[in-house]
Amino acid sequence: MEQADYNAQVDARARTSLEAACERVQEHSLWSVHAPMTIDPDPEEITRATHRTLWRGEERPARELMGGPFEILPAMLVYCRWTDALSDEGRTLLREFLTLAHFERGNTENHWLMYYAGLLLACERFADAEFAWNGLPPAALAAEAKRWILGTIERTARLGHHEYDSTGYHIEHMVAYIGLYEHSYDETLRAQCAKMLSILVADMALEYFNGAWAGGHSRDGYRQNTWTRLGAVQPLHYLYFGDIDFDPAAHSGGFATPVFTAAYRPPALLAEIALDRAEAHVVKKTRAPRTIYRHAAQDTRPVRKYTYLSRSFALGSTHLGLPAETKGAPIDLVSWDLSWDGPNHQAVVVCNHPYRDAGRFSAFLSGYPQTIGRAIGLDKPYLQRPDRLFGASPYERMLQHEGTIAVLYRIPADDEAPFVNLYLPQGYAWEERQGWIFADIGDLHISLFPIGPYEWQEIREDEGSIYMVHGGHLIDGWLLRLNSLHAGLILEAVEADEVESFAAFCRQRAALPPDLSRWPNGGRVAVATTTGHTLEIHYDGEHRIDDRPIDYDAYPLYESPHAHAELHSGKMTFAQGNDRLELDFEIDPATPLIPMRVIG
Amino acid sequence: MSDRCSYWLVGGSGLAHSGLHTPVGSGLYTATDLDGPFARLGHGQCTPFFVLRQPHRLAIAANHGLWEWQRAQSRYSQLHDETLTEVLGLAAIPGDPGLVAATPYGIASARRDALGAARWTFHSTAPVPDQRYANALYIDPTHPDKWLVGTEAGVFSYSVRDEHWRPSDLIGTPVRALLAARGRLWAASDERGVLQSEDGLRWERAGDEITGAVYALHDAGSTLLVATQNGLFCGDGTGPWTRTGPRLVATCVTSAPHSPETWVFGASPGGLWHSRDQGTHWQQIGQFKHVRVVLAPEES
Repeated sequence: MEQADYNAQVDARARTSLEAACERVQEHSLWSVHAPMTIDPDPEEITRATHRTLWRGEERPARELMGGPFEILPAMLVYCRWTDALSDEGRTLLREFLTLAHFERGNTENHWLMYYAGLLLACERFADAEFAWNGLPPAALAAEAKRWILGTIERTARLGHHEYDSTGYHIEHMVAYIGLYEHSYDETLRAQCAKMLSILVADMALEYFNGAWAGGHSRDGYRQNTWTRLGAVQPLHYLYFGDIDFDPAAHSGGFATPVFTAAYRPPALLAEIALDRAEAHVVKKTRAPRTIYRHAAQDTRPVRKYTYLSRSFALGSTHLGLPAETKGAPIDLVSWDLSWDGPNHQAVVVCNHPYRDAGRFSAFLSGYPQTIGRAIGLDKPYLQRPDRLFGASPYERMLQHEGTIAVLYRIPADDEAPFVNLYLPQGYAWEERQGWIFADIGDLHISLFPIGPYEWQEIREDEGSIYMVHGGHLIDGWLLRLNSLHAGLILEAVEADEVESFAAFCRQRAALPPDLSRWPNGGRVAVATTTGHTLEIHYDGEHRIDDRPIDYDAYPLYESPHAHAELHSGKMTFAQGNDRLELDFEIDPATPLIPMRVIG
Repeated sequence: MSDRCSYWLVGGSGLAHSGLHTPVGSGLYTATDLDGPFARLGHGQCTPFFVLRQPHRLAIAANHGLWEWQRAQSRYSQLHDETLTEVLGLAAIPGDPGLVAATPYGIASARRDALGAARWTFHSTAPVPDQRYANALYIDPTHPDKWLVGTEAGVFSYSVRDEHWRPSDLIGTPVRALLAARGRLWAASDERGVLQSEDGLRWERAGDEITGAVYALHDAGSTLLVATQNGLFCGDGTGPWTRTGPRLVATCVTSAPHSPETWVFGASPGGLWHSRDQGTHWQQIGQFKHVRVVLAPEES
């Protein structure tokens, strides 16, 4: 596709979204106010949004206000984009807020990025102002922001994204880098941001699957990982890849609005990669290690992702790199799932150990380990629910080859959740044969073998459940509770048109029982696939495919038919047909990396 | 106008705390008298974990970095850089900014760059995260090149001169506070109660066993005060520790310098409590929900 043609398509979709935001949103935030300022400009919209969101409707001096990442970035993006259109009052309010209010950085990578992006732009625009809240001159603050932003880009180019592939938070990264790319006065920074944006779009494109983001995610929309398409990344999928119907609720307004207003356009090649699902293929990615700062005897290792994109389904898994004996486990991570196209709750299979130890909070947060479990649980009770389907467990191991995965757990006897939750959609007629559970999904067939005794329950969670849970707005499906400290799961999915029939697949699959003779004693499980391969997983040891050990340490930064990049090189190639996109971050591998001191 | 830094200082959050990303009510508060009212110092809304009061400033270790309140200018100034995140403890050393910071990523010291910003260098090189995670510091002013560090894995000594780390025999438990008092050093641990040491390297249990984590220590003259997850205890470190006051997660404790019968402790959650009769009767004061720092008025 010619870049100009692609740009025109993106322009049209951006216009559709902005018009919808104008119709849908009654009171604009500083994120969404870009929509009316584009479609039907009224500077007073910005003034009203500033009063409402930054001053919270109060008459107070700016120096008494407090802001964080979610204030400084949208305020600065509005100021930069609409400088000439601002009313005098609006301009004064924004300038006062950005130079006098107190700011904090938050504690995740997207928080720090938004804070430093907003701060850098503010220091550039108000270079002569006294940032009275801070005490340092704007030049010092800008230098600090630039060091962190460039350092984080370099880390990403060398090690992979830290807060990786997040359906919930990818948008914050995109908005911040687009803002810097379009508005910063620093040419070096802008050039690096342009390349970083290509990485972020490529990360989406490589695992894009029918309007969704397949595979493992560092942070996957709270309690929404049974949805087919989820998270604030959806507007980006619509805007940049464009093969899904426009949904005003999912694709307009909110954090993404500055992206829809921006002139930035990704390389068209990346959209072509996203939409090319003609051939089944594997995508391997290395991601930066998680940040676990206590409750661990070693540092974390890099994250290795393996995602199999078939024509009608996607199966993705993750080796988290968590150290042995750690209590740390990222709270909103989704390590694996099987997904296909279908309604919410009807197109995913996932299992999870709902690990509850308070150490999973204090490994990342500096609160007292003795009290932090209750403290976090007060604000986010769903993080401690026994039915939870997301969040990492230090007791989970997995091995995947194409459409087959083996997942094993060794849960300590004193763990608060001595079981595993397996989610199955309700909309299919499940069958059972010799311990295997089957479903004919239409274009694909699924087989599962739960390891350990299980109860067939239901799960239903509704975000507005004050009196009764109904409607299943959040989660509605079957919950198989695997009541074993040594639970596990074997799953194989196949394309329906690649087998003789569903019945034949069931017979073939049931005739190949997994080898559990050394599980749990011995720590090994093996299974043959219906496609002629053998998976052999040793819980704390080697993983083998067809008797060949897998060297996870040899995973490159990217490996797929569309991408290749070696770790630590800062160089990467994305390709589709004869078209290629080469990125070179011009990194000296000998230089030390900026330390990543945030949660990812 | 008098210097509010010489008053009672309380770091915490108020009952009005709300909002995930824009905390309301957190900050450093002052009052001339325990009966209040407590007023926030400036407009900063960080959550202080430790405050070091010095003649020219308050150095404030907080969840969102390191700040100083310049007493002469009555204003905040940022002391962290892009590598310094949460700061849990502080100790003074010569120079500018003249601080060692205890952080979850290790201990760090700083120099000023050409733009006047503090740039931090980390000194923790252990491969074990728990040994890097630093909760507390003690630096003897007469030996500023020997730093005693309370970490998540125990107490370690760091020699600045040769950049050498040396473990003490207090290993295997988080240590959350270090105190020099009564001619010796005291350590607050999660799993071994209160310990004492002559040199910081060899430790022995001080007094009887205390159940639960110990978060802070204070010498009130007539007694040692011990803030624990099960409330406040007093004793002299040789016999039993006696619990006093409500069973709260006591995080910090002090006493009034000219009125040693007045004890004050902070709790998280639980707010601020004081006793004017050495623990016979306790009264909650202020509108605090979480308190992590309390400093008595400065002695003139």
